[in-house]
Amino acid sequence: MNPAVWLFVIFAGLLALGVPVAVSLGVAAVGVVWSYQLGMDAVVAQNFYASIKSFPLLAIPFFVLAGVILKRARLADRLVRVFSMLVGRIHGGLAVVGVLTAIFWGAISGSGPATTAAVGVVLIGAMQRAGYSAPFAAAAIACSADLSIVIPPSIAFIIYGNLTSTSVSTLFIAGIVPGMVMGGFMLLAVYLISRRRGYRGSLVEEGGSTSLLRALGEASGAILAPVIILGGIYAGIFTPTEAAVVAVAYSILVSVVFYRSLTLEGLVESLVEASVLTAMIMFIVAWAGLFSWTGSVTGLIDSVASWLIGATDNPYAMVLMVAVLVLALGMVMDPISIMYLVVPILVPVIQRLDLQPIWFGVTFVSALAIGQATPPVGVNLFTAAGLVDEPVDVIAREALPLVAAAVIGLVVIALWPSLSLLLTD
Amino acid sequence: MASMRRFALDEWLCAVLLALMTAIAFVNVLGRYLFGYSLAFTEELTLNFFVYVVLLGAGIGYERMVHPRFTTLLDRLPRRLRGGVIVLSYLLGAGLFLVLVWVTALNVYIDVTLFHTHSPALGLPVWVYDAPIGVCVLLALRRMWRGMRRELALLGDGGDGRRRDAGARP
Repeated sequence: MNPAVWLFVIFAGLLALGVPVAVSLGVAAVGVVWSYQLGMDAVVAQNFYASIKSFPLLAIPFFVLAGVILKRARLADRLVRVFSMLVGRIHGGLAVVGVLTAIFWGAISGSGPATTAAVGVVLIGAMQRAGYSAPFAAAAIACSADLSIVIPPSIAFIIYGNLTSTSVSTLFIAGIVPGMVMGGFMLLAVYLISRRRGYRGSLVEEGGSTSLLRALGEASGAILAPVIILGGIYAGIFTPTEAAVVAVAYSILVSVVFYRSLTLEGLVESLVEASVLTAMIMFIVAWAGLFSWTGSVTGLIDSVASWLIGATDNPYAMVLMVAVLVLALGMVMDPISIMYLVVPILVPVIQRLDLQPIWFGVTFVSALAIGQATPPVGVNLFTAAGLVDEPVDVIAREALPLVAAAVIGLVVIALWPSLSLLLTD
Repeated sequence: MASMRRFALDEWLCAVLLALMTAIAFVNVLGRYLFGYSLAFTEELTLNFFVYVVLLGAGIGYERMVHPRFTTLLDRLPRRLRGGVIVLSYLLGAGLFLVLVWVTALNVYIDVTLFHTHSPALGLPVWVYDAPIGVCVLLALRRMWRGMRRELALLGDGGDGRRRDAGARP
């Protein structure tokens, strides 16, 4: 049998058996490299380490760490209070607050599960006490946390930029408007569902201040974070990796000086948590790197790419086709593995059809983002399910209308490239 | 500081390495913008630390069950078969770690006997960076062992055995 076919069959088989995605990719690649004597000692070690030892990817642990520290400073609570004063009283107020907070947190964190956890911990309980069903509350947070990888900073853009040699800074800036567009559709969906179900507006239980100004003041640490992170990138001062380091420094400063919430023990705990979350991402990156190397050597990538190029030469049709493929893969895989599986195939397609790379990248990542909340494998759904102790499929059912809203947003982003290019030159 | 004792060796290593990575990178940012210089040789240290953090963290991630996976089919298997598949899955994961150590050791052996390469920036023999990988993998394998026992115990505790915490935990 063709080694390319083996590569794919072993991977799919292991994935179906519940072997972690990273291990499935690694075993398939190592197996093929081994049996077709593609050079175990040189190839495996080189690829594994080279995938990790990349300066641009260092932005990942730093952004993750900044997010973990700011989460510990209970900044999500403070944001919730501000949004709840602004819109809490309308129908489905708390759900709307949840979506707004998750969107905003997306400008602090670059990972969907991290946002689900940070915002979910604060809001899901409050929503339940206000009469929302737990699965709906969890679904609303999980789906709006999708946008964390469309709104900068974004781990997905960092990796996509790295794989396609596209500027990560430009992708970051380009993601802002499309993120808002998808967020708008999500807000509308949450509002309409809440209205129909009669979820009343309410305020989060008061513990802190009552004036909006004071609430804003208390949340300023959170509100300033994106300004510092994105402002530096937008002004061309920082590279994404530098901005991420500055974000860590900022988060420590804010936690220690402003909120007095960070102890030494808390810092160690944050470092460990950030290490584990980073490792989870990079473990996939490293084995997926070897997998795509094997895929290109065995000709798997070329044959799929030329098939794709032959399918259509209309850029919009191509982008929609890719979006559908990514949405389908998003049901059974996490965004990062999909990226390594699909992007090497897409690079020749982008060149051949001369597609606008920023628009294509933003649309691609928006489709990936939705996959974080689609069953059976939705990383945000898993995280949200852990928070409310409900089975994933119950939450997934509640997520369906919100996923549909996000897909409408995706189509809008795909068909109007100007949305992605609005803020870039 | 009794509470600090609850962190295990690999957790301490992760914390210290990541803290060093951040500190080095931050000093470089300051250096570049305030004084116009950067310590290019530090990139070598930072990137190697990154590799150790990934290996150690991946191990801890096994015990915390954070690695994304597709369990829909697995959940529907009879319990005994499910146990077998889980063991197989851990064996494959451990096998990958061992392959990694093996190919790394092979490269180190070729290098110290043949090429005597030194790292580009700090001029250290390359095995200095490769040697800790063995330690990281050893610590990761210990975590995997505990993760597997935990997962098998969850299977046997009479519940439906369904894992709900497969995603990243808060």
